[in-house]
Amino acid sequence: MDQNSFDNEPYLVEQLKIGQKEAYAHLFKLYHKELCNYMTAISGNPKVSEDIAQQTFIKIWDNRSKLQIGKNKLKRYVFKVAYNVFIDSRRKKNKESQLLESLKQQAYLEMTEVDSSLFEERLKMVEREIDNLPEQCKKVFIMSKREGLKYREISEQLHISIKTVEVHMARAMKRLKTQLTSFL
Amino acid sequence: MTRLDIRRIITRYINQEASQEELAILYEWVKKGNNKEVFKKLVQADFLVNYEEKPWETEAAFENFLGSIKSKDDVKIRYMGKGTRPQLWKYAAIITIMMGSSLYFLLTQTNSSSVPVDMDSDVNQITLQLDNGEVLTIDPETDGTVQSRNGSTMVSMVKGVLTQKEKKSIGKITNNTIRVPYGKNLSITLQDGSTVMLNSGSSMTYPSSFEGMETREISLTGEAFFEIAKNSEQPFIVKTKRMHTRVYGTVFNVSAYEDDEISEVVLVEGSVGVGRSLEGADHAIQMLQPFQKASNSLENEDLFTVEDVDVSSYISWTKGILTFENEAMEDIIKRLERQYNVRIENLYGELEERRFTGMFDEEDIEHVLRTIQAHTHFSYDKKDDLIIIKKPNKQ
Repeated sequence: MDQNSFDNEPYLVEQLKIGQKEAYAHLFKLYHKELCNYMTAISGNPKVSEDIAQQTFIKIWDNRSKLQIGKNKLKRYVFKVAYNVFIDSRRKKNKESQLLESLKQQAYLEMTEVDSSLFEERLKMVEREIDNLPEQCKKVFIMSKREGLKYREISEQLHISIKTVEVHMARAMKRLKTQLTSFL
Repeated sequence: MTRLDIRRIITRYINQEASQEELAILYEWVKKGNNKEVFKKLVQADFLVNYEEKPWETEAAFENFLGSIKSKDDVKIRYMGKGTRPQLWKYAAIITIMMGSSLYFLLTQTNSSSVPVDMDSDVNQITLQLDNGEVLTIDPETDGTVQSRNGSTMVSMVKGVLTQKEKKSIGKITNNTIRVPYGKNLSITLQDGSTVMLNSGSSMTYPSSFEGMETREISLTGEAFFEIAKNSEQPFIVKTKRMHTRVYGTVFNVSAYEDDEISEVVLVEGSVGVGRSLEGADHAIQMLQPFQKASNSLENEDLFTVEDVDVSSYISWTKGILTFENEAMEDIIKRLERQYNVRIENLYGELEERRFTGMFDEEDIEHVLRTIQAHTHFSYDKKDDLIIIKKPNKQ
């Protein structure tokens, strides 16, 4: 491989450090779309996620002279910066949230390191699993996850108690987790 | 605690519905044994459920990025007012409110006698209209003192800050309206010692004294940055048509332009409450945390949305810096008109939706337009104070 190609990560990182604009164009090409998808899955809001992506690249630019990126860790670095931007914007400071948020960050970062074909496979598997959920459970799950309704709204629409909504949601999550565990 | 219970809590947590109590339970649980891994797996399962491929505008985002880093390089932060004005950054609370309203509409329950606007005054001058209808013209560049015709009011301008004094013997509280045209700014000290910096195209109505009042109330259209003198017995209230803000802390910034659709309040530090109106018992008041913005729109004035924001872009105007944070050209055009006192006509409709991020420090309008042009193609003609934006010329 050409040593002076942006496909060569150490070279790309060097060029990012010295503020070479084309290197940043390449960084956008590499990660912008995926980062937006990723942050949308986490924040639930495409607009927010585009904003976070933008702030992330600007942050990397601002800190370019201090960039310290381990071998093949560029992607992890980019996504880590993004998650920190996201967390900073939420400003939850208590110790409970901090621990849980850092676990969440670990969980999300692990996802970025998965090979893309395997990732696709998992996405399909999740779709299949959702499809196979018991009818009412599936209905509740889709209302919550796809339509973004609150538990209270679901309970009102389906005339069931909030507790029942919760049980359905927990059951769906458990099934998905069990199915995915062999992969994850 | 059954396994079902904990699963339910985790699910609630992931869906951002967990209470503080559940958070504490989850915290204790996750510390035990292999639970961290179980928790992570559930988070990942949820992530996969939420994940979908969407089209994203990477190229536009990159252009936007180039715009931001370019303007960052260009800007040298200029501290405001050649050292004559207060250093606003050190203060505690800052709010921005935007709204649309008629000033007089707001004054119904204060003791204003409806005063006709003096049509003779030059629209490009800062004016102070007194209770009796008299209009004084203010020049912030020149220090001096002006007296009203009946001698009851003394207005002094010292180093860009306006102060007003009433003759004690009169003892009557009067209402004043200060109007700042496009292209100008003004600082003013109120009777209680609070200071207000008014941005271009703003007006504020305020009493000559707050003495004997339960609250200190002023009305605003446009945008202003306030440093409020502490007085817990007499809360300070900023009224705009669609939003009332009660100040518990000390300093804030209010912006309330008639032609803006969104009203918003941004708090940097301290404490404020925002509501549709602060009168009556059952009006919901939204308390803000620092670094939060509350906003409502013309379409739904009762619905306040609260979100976390980067406050610096909301208050950079107090230092003479124009900041756009991923703002639509439609809104940028309005702000340029106010800042530079020009009229901008946009004949290139598609441009309105385009977004731009950047900062400008004291550049002239043409410099600003050319910078935006570098990232968003359009052409324009400038004739005196009229700028016409058109589709880009064919190359």
